[in-house]
Amino acid sequence: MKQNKIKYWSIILILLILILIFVSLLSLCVGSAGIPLKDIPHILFYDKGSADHSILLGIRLPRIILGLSIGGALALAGALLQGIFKNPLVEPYTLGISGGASLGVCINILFKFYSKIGIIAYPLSGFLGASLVIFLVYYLNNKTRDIRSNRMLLTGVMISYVASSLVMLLMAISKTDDLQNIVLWIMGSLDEPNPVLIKMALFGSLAGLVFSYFFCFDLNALLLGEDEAANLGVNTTRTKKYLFIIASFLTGLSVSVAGIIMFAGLIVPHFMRMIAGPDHRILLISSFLAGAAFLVLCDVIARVIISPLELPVGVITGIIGGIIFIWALSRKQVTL
Amino acid sequence: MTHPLTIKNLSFRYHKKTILKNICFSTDPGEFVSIIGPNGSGKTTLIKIISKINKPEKGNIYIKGNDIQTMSNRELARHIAVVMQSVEPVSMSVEEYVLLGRLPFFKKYQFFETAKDIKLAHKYMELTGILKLKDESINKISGGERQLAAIARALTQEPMLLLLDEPTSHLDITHQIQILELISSLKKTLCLTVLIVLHDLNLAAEYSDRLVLLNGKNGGIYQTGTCEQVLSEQSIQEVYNTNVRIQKNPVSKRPCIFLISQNALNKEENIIL
Repeated sequence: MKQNKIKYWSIILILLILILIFVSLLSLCVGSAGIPLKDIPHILFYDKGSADHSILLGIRLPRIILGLSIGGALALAGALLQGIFKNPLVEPYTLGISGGASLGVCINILFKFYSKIGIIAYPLSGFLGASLVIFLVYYLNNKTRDIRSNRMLLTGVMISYVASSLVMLLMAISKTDDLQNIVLWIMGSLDEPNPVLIKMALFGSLAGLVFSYFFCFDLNALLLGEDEAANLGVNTTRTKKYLFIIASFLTGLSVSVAGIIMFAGLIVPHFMRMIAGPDHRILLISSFLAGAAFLVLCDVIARVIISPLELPVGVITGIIGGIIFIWALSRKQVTL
Repeated sequence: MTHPLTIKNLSFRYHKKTILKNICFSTDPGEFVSIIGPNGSGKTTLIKIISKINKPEKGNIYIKGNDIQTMSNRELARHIAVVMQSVEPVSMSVEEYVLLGRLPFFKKYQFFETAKDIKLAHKYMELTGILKLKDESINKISGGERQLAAIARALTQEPMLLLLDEPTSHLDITHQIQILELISSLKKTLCLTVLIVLHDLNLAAEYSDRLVLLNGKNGGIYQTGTCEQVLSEQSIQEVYNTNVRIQKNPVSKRPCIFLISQNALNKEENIIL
């Protein structure tokens, strides 16, 4: 049975990687200037001065890398949070963590922390905002000991509202050029000109994936409930603390680089759980890969649907994700 | 001889209310000890303190002479296993669920179960009679089968002390007997020490080597001893505030408790008068 499991998991991983390569190539070819796939090697290696060359390497490739990192990070954060909270409807956006991160980033833009400590102020402020919310949601609900209830989801939605109201408040009192900065960033897009932030997103999300694997067995045990996990030797308090930090780091990073991208962290782990099963050894990596492919695909759709104009990618994930969220909520038995 | 479990002067308070006070007892290897007592007398709390989920206010617990406060959760899980009242619904298969019992033994950086882990899981699924269900989802099997899976998972931890918290409370008599038979046979074949919380006094009387009767009123132990010593009409009256009659079970010769309606009690009084 172990051989069967390894075989099944390998098939899933290979398929996901193939899908990921496919959507990445699609994203390279499709856009306001269509570039046929068969021309790409020629342009890359022999046509270095051309406009197509700079479109491919200067615009589309960074965008794909960012899409992969952010999509992977959000889906992974969703998988981790669903595991900790034992609730399949939980994700960075529905828990208000994205809202907290965006509030953090807004404060950073308004008070110009970035001019003092450099570009790292963006992900840092996002991370601080996100971790503040995650611990708040957890401790507000921990007293009732009924962590599975949708009360926690409601707390998250409320915190999300408060955070977005505060963002609006900040926008109302901010100067015009700050306001423009905030609006552009909040719209949520994978169009990020800063190569440092792109590198940070890539290596940050990969680091998140590696660290979350230290807790894959603890997450499996947590599926049985906190007491049972403790009976199986898991130090639940410590595990949850580290997982919260990883999830806030991933969310803060995503939000600070790409704005609020709704529901990517909800749908992907949900579907991967159906396909790959609840074992976090396969769930974490497959959610990461599928999330990466999903966001790159959504970005392609956002770019071509009203071409030559471009939709914020958050709109696409919001529409697809919202519908699936309602469907998931209406299913009678939603268990992990 | 070291006792598998020794509890010394244990006290526990929750929201300023004393739940357990000055609890002292120990178990011998291979002994089947039942904890009985009224609702709210701290039976489940006691299990949770031994498994280190709740922290005692005072007192110490020793597993084979080692204080559990000096042991990590992981270390403790290699010595004791816990079966709770019910299994939370999860969509994993019975086999995956039972294999979780090997988690405390995973080495650092070990990613897959070893052949030994799988062999042990199969052995105990066989023993509990759920091997044929191994590919079924935990969600889809019956409550009785789920409890058997929980016991198989606990045994896969190869513990020397098995704690059970009312494992039969949601089950019909077929499964109640099946599970208690299984546990009392394990104590012989695996020399397992069993500490079990039971609600049903007759089941406790039928299977236990020794009973611990919790008082309920001041958080202490009312009495420990053999079933015949502990279960008397007087002790039940004092602890449970209930008028019962106790006779010998015609087959097992163990004490058997009869609950009586108020109506019948009144009639009996009239006859005597």
